[in-house]
Amino acid sequence: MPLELKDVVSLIARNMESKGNPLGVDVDTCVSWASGLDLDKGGETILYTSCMYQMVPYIVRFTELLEKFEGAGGGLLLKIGKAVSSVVDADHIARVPKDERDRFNGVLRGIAKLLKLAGVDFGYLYEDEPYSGSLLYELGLEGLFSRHARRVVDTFRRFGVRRIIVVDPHTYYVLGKIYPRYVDMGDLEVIHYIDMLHRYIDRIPLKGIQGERYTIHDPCLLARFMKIIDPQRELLDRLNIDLVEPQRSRIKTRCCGGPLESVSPKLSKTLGRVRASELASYSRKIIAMCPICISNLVRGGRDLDIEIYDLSEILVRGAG
Amino acid sequence: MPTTYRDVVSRALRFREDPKAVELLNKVVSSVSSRVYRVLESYPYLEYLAKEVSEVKRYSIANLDRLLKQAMESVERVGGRAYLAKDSEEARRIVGEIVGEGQIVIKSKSMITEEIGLREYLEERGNEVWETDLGMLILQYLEGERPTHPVIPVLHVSKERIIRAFKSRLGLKDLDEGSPPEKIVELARRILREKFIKATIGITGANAFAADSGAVVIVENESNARLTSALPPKHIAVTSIDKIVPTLGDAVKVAFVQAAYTGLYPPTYINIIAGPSSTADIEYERVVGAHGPREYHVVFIDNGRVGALDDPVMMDMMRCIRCGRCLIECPAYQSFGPSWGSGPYSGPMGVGWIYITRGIDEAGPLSMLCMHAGNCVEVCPLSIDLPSIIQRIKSMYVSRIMGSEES
Ligand code: SF4
Repeated sequence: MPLELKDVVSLIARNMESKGNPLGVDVDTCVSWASGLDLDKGGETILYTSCMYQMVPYIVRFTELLEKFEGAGGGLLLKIGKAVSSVVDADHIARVPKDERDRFNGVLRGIAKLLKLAGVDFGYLYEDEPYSGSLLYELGLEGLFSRHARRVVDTFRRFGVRRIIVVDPHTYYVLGKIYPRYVDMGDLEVIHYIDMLHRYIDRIPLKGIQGERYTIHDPCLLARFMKIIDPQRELLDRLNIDLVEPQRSRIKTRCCGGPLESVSPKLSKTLGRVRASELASYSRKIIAMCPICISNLVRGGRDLDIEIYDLSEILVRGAG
Repeated sequence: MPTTYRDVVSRALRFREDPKAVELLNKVVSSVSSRVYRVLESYPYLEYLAKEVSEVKRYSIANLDRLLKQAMESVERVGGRAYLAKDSEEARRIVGEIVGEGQIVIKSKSMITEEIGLREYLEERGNEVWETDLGMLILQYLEGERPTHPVIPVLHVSKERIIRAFKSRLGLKDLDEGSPPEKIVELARRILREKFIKATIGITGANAFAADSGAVVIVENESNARLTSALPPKHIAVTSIDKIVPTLGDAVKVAFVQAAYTGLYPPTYINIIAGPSSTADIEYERVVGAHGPREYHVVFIDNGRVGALDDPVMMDMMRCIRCGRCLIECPAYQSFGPSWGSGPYSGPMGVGWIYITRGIDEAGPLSMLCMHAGNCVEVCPLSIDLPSIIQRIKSMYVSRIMGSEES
């Protein structure tokens, strides 16, 4: 029995209200990656995580939990809201292994390191960093989304932010293309970290790394909507890696199925599986660059012999 | 019964549980896809033509009122009769009156006739109605099936199923499991041959309609539309108002682009019909009714389309020429295929057209399977902004089901 859309949407809306993010993860989960990095709080230029990478292990678990409900009978559906929120809030978070959390925190630390190497100065909003609201928009909750977007921009203003470096395609897309329809962005500049690194590519000491074969998965939002396709390839080029392009790559890239995670975890997983197998036929090492893609390729590729890396994880290796 | 969100998801889940159906879909989708790419590579001018058509359609939609009026006047001027139907019911009634009862009616493929349920209506009124496009003929004999692609309506049906249906419904005894497609085509040809000759009414759709000349333009490969519009004494062309373009030249360009982006280029036939058949061979005096139809009727159908013009996002859908390329490249259609649609419409453009012609209750649940991957707008010859159109439908639907909880 499929999920009742209303249940899922209410749950997400409730989490937004109580915790400010769709899964209801708490502030610590979002900010702990930055500890020890001595990043300034705020500043003209900030690194904006929107808690996306930090949520990956939770997204995977949340979706797997929803999937169980999707398979269950009708009676259970009424309870889904409470059940899911309690599990996600407390006990579920405790169940996410530390190494998984560390890995995705590591992705952000890697991105921060690369930006530093590129000579980019930036701060971070820590516990004041809001979630972008991208999932609200994607689920069609435009009313909630637009109110949320206004608050987010207010927060940026309050901290004197002028330039926002985003790290994932979903945040980049909503901030770059959708926010301006609802909020006056003034002179706020939004830039993706890949573009930023590419701009200063010669400053980053990127060396060749051991010759292994990788394939690449372009996120739909990044490649088609935001047209970031070549910069990541030019960066990877400096590492001299053997990169095989799948037939469906660049502008023709194929969806990972991630956007259906909360609509139908099963359908979403099916698509994740299709894409993961397709990529696996090029190489078992896959370079992705979006937390949603990663979480769904992980789910879909569970029983495949593949390794999924974030672009930054590979770049960091070349940066010594 | 309106479709619910859960129906839509269930159908998609069920579809994925049928490995044969999934395999067939993969096969057809990937061969259509590579064919279109090949066509575009071999005939580079098509992309320029597509840009031109894109602008022509933009202009046409913006000037729909005036062009519709001109189109109707042109039909009368060339000796035809023009009608305007507000909705499906009125359209069925108008066509029903022209057809009458107890007639043999032949039809060529047309999404708009499916949209308004024309065949069933004419059959209820005691007519014998034959689909002459092979794909549509197959559908006619598959219980409860609907076209799942605007140009390749039975993209989801295996040869085995076709053979079974033809054997039982048409009594074609000499077909068996292993019959090659040629045999099926040959038998269909034999059955339809007689119907072409005996039919008193031929009904076609239109790929485009030229306002300046009252001409309907139909592109095809089977030649059945050519026969349907030429052999019976009466020809009824049924067209939605979004098909109207200013000139005959524009209309032919639409046909070119539609064929190309379906992967069928060059098309075998492009039919232009601008009035009843006539001759002026005797002292240059025009006599109506030579070898073709004596009567030419054109029924223009609105069915929600004018309403779509009030919405600046939805309005863009009206430029669609139903080439079906957005379906072929869409990850949701590639995965859920025939289950992702309703009535004659499927895929990304389907969500938009279902909204326009049947409303939010029907289109809303379907919109939720859109992943906003954006392949559609990238490959659409007219760059129709389908992701924004579907996003708009999604948001209307979600605020409706959430009621006061979210607005
Ligand atoms: S939306 Fe574009 S690609 Fe899709 S059927 Fe219409 S014209 Fe073709």
